[in-house]
Amino acid sequence: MQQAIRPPKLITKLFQWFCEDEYYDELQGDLEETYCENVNTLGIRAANKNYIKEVLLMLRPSVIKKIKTQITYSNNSDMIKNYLKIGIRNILSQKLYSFINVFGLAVGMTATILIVIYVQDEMSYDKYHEKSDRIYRVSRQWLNDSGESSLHVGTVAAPFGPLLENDFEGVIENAVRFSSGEAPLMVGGDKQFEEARYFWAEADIFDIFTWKMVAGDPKAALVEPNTIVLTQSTAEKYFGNEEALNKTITFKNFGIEVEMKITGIVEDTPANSHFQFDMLASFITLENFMGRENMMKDWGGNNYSTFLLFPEGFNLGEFETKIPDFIDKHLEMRQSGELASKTNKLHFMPLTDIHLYSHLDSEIEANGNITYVYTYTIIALFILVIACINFMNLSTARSVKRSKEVGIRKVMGAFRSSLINQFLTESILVAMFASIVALGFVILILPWFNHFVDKELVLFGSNPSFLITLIIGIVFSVGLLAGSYPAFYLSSFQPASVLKGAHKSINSKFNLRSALVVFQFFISICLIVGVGIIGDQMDYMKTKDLGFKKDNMIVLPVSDQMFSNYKSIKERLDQQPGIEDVMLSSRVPSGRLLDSQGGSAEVDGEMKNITFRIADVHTGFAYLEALKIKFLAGRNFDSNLASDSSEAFILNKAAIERLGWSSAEMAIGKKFNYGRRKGQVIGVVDDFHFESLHQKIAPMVFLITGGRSRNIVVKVKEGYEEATMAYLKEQWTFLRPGFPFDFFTISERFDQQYESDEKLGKLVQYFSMLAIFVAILGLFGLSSFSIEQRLKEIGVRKVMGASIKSIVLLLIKNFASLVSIALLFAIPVTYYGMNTWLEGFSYAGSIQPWPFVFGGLFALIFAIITVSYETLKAAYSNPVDSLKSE
Amino acid sequence: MKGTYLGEFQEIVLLAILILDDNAYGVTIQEEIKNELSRNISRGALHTALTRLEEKGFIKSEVGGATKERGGRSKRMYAVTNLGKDALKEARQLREQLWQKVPEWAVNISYAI
Repeated sequence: MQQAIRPPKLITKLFQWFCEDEYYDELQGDLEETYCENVNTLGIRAANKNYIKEVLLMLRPSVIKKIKTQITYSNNSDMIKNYLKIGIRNILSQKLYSFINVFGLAVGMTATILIVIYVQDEMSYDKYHEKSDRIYRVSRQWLNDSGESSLHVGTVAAPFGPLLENDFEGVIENAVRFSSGEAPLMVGGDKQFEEARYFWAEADIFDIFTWKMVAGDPKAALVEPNTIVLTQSTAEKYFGNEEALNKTITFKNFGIEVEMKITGIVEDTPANSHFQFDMLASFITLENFMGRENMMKDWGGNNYSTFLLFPEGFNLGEFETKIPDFIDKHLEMRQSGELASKTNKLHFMPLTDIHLYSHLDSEIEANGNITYVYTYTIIALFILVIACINFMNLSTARSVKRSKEVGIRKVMGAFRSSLINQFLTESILVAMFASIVALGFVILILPWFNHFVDKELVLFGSNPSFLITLIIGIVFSVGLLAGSYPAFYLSSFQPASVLKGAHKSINSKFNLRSALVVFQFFISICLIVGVGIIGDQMDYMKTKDLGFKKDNMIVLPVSDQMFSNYKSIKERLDQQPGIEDVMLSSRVPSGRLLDSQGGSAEVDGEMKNITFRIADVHTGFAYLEALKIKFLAGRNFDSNLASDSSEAFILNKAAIERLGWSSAEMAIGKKFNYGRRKGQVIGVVDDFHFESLHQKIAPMVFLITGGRSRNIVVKVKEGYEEATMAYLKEQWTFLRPGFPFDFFTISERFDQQYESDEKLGKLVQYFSMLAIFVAILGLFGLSSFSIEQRLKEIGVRKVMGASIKSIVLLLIKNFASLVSIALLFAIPVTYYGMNTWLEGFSYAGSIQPWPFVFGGLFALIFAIITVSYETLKAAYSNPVDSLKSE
Repeated sequence: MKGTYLGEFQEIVLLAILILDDNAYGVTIQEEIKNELSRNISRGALHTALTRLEEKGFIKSEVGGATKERGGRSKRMYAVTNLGKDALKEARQLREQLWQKVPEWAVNISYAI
């Protein structure tokens, strides 16, 4: 039998979709009949065309489906309205409960949002460069003979960049070097400033980094000598609103004065860069100063930040295997005949990792720290979890009271699904209120938080969609999570048994609620104890005997002219009554010990090369005495002995021990060569903490400076501080005209080294306070509910003759035991965690028992105080009130 | 009386149903109008008219038989109700009444000389 010809299916489907069901059959039937006839008379194409036309002409009100609800009545929207209304009424009727929930959750969310904004910013560093995934920074590491790292710097010697680019043609696409010297004085327009963020940069820099040029040609800007690129705000600083391009600006430093032409203006470096600059001057200018040949031979001046750009699809691992050969090819063999690659290593770090993962000696700017990012995140999550637990606990506790409501609703014909919806709507509503309150909190706190983390964060910054999704995500997941227990558990009640009162209490010995309370207090106690231990360590570092006197030592900058007439300056200063001593020094305590040279020492009667790194400090005669450093043997430098300034060495104890000399006394008079100086050891000092307590005490050698050390140290007499500072300021403005009076004291700088540790401590302190506050808030709510439930029991007990004391004890015992269990868990966890943190310090105090005792007692006492309000109220209540009903 | 007003198209449809007698359904009405008046009307437009007429009570309908060409779908057969017939007659009468008042010369087609 011949199959009937049917019109195009898709069109039929479409028609069926929009056509009112009631008419569909007849209309489609008619259309198909016409279609069949058309096929026979006009052919299939014309028939199809006609069919499509007919269907499209069916798009008229009389044919199109009416909106569903008008046909079959549905109460969905009414039910949602009802859920919302009941939800809001419930929230309003239980004010305390709602306050605890909304407030607690809001605090948790505030912490989370703040931390998310912070972490987002930390993670975004340097990602704005278009080629950021292919840019690597070169760093150089020295190993001593036993293979230990003796120094690892983020800046390398000048020849590395060009040689790498040359030797690995094709493997490396491009290489650039930056160098930041001491801040030069720049004179432009009628203004002059000392520019700390001044860099020499190679011409290719804009090929590698994405810094947008507003004026000038990025390809040509830094090619010529004596050219310079400014950031917008720097240009404005000098020239106001005038066009800065093609103007000149004068560079003054090292006694050199050069006119530089401004060949480009770039946008200010984004805040999320691991270093920022104000000026970039052409590298070739620097090469002209220093001599290109000299620079390419200088393997010791590791001052150049070097970045490599790899081509797409590069293989870093393969490239790294070739580095030892590269080093051996270019670096001279050591005197001992060993290959240079044995003690010299190059490392390559992705640009985007530098900010969070790089903590080398001599970074361009201090970097962030990934462990802090983790710590903050974990703490914020903890608070959120504690708040969520409150929410869940209170909902479940309260659910007992609502079982009657559930029963009635069921009797009235509520489906289980609508009860579930009811409970979920309520909890999501609470979470929504909380998120709104949290956003308000964030707006209030953000300025303070910014000040604290030293950033310019905004609420909805670079990636607002992520944060919005996150907040909505938190609202729904918290709402669903906290609402799910009452929603699914309560809605399963049998109305008959609920209304009879069989479900009155669900009081098993151990239940989920108790476990959650234990968990909350566990976290809170951990945080409190952590704060205590961090505080201990801070105190330890600040009060530990460093082995020298850091008080009243002022460090001042030196200019070139000052070196030439240093003698007369020193004489003048020495006459000042408030000044005890004046000396030059290459390094001062609180800085890092970055300078070292090779040497040899007399061991067992023969000269042996020193196989480890001895850090040097070039200094004046009075230095060690001014610092009150203890001598173990020998004598201090003597300015009356001419030979002391060229052949005397003083070592510290660590150096003696590493050299293998059995005692300090034995070391005196031993031959010692260091760099180009030959001489002997004249004294040994006890170990002292030149660097921060994060560092182990390094072997050190002190020698008299040749006269070009970068700091002038002034020891001020006690009681003369103010007058002397005023005098020094006056002197320096005269000695270094144009430069600001810039000084620091050693004790200040020493404390600054622990700034980031201290910040961590502070933040943990604030957060732990929040955590315990939220936990206690929850405990308060929970205790009031559970006591309310036991009112009858208390009534009966009282009637039977129980004393108030025994009732209070009975009620408190329960909560106190939960806190004690939490403490038991918290002790080992905190101990382990804080031990790991302390291992990051070379010198750490031991963990004392008091933070644990304090943390435990603190939590316990607060828990008891919280619970006792409701407890006492219940214990003093008249049993008649609780027993008269029912 | 807006409710009982009979539009021109609706009048045609009613007449077509009357002509078709007991074979009046979508396709045949469409064809009849096409054959008699050379007017191509879409089934959708016809549907609108039919619904209106039914709302006014001028026609009634019932579900009729199905054929293979229709993909096995049933037809809806239409018939004019007495009310519908009255409305038709009234419309015709009204028209004739008007025609009678028109002077004969007025409809004479005049040519410009």
